[in-house]
Amino acid sequence: MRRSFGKIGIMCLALLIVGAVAIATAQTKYPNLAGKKELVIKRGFTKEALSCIECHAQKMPGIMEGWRASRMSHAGISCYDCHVVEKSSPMASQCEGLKGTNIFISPMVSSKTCSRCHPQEVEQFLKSGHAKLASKAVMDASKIGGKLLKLQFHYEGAGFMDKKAYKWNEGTPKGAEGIDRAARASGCQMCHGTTVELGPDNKPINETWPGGVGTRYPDGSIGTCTVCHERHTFSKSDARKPEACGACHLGPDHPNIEIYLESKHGQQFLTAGDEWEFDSPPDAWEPGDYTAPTCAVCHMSGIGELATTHNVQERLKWDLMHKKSVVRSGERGDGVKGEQNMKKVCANCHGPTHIKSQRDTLDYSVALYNKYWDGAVKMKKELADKGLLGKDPWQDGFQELMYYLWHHTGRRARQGAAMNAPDYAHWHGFFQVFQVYQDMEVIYNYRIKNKKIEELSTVMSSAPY
Amino acid sequence: MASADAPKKAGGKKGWWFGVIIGVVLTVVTVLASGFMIETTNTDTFCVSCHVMTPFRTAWQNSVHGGQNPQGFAAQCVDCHLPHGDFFQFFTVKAMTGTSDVIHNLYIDPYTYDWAGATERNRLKFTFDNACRRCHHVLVPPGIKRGGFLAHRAYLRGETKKRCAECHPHVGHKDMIEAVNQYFKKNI
Repeated sequence: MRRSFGKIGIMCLALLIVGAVAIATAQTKYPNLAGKKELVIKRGFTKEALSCIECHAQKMPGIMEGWRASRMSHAGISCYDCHVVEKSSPMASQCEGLKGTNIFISPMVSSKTCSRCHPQEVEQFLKSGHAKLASKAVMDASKIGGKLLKLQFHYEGAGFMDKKAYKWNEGTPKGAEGIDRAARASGCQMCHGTTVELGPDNKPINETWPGGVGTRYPDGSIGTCTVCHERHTFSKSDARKPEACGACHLGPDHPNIEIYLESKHGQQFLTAGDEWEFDSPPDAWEPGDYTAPTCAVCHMSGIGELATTHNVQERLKWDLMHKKSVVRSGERGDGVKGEQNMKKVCANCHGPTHIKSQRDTLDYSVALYNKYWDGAVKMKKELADKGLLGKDPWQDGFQELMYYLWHHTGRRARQGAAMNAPDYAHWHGFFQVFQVYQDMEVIYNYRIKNKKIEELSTVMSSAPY
Repeated sequence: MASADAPKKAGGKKGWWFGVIIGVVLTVVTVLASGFMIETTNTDTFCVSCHVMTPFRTAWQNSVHGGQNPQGFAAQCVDCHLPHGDFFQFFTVKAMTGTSDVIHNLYIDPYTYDWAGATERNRLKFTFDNACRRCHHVLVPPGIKRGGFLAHRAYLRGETKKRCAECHPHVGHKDMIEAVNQYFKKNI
């Protein structure tokens, strides 16, 4: 009996200890296994720059780790060099650590800042479709009569449900609240960029920042380099890999990363890319460092006799993005020269027969697509003349299909042909182009014959994919 | 040759007047263009004789180029704001900008004028690379930061069309717009 009491006592004690340990463990939430990050540097930076580094290493260690591993830190370029602005700058603000000092910074860093050290790269970039033209669609009311702004706020932002009367001649329409802006903020502007709006403390508001490559900043500068050279590592290697481009060039309307990965070039990248050299100096990254090109090799990098360019239009012949494909000219580049340049790229790995076959396939594919588009335009004109087009294009089967004809299926056909992805050129491309076109013809014939618009939209699916 | 004699006679008195006018103009030009006048009008003291220039001088005095450096070197207004290619260029731009300054001073209302906007619009009109280069001879000096090295090398090779003041827009005046706003009591 006495021994039993002893056993019970030992058991109780053991349970008590286990319980206490369990409670203690439970109370220690999320143990910080990494410990507190501390970055103490004594050389190469000014006192002000060092205080940014030390404070932010504690407050946001992730960003500082990126910077620490980057070429910028090696070159002695710190937070201060890129983020500091004049007190009179429209973007001048102060973080907690700067209050009371005469130093002003901005979280926004545009291509103008980068151009101080990389002038040629930014000059080329600003001439390309990645700069001003990129954000035009999202924020410019003059582009096709503000239809794209209407799409963002009236349609996608569900403005039509509340019958909100927006005006399209201003950036963010007055009266558009957070929920109304959500479609643009979460989608369009993440790739295209928009005009940054500022609050009273000169910090960006209305979810207009951070944004995509064509972002327009309050100081008048345009463009975001960190979209491809991601902050805060700013790695050349990252930008040379297809994933950098694939962040925006993907999906049903321009599946460029998917097209690339389906192509022989992408196949080699997927199977052997791990062994490729991505960190060679600018203009010296040549075949041998890789056995097949990434997006950057053909569109931007120095290869053979061609010099590196940050103008992505320099090696393009066709405009494969818009309704009708034309040879590039004006602000969209010089297509004749572009074709010559692209052929020079190809010649680094391919003979003339192969190059001719590939380029001819593209030209004929473009001509075929344009044939469909011209037919569609003819039908639309006749319907418009006879008053047989619905007022709301998104509730009108003919117009909805016409949108998918160029914006989705037609682009997939053209771009699939341009970059050698048969599945996109065919199944996602021409196979659907002809079906969309024939459906349009049926609607067209119905309206002409019956002299009226059908009562319900005949297009029920979200998009042909 | 009566026709040749006739105007000579008729223009006798007029010729005198013409001579006087030419003489006065030439004298004025000679005095203005004289070393003395150029020296006199090349100083910040002369520039602030126009009331509106005061805050610009204050901001300049607070900047590296106004003497805020260990050596105490200071560049004068005209060192940066006039071209220093050759004397003819220097002189004509000096005459033109000087005249323009006087005219603008007559009708601009400094209390409402958009100084900040004008600064951004006109910076490259009133700064000259050959002025900067008169003092900054070596653009890739030992110890220059890597970023500056990259940009200056591109500049020296003519690979970029950027001008000095595009990358160094605020070096001549410290917090200039603040000084202007304060002076003209703008609450911005």
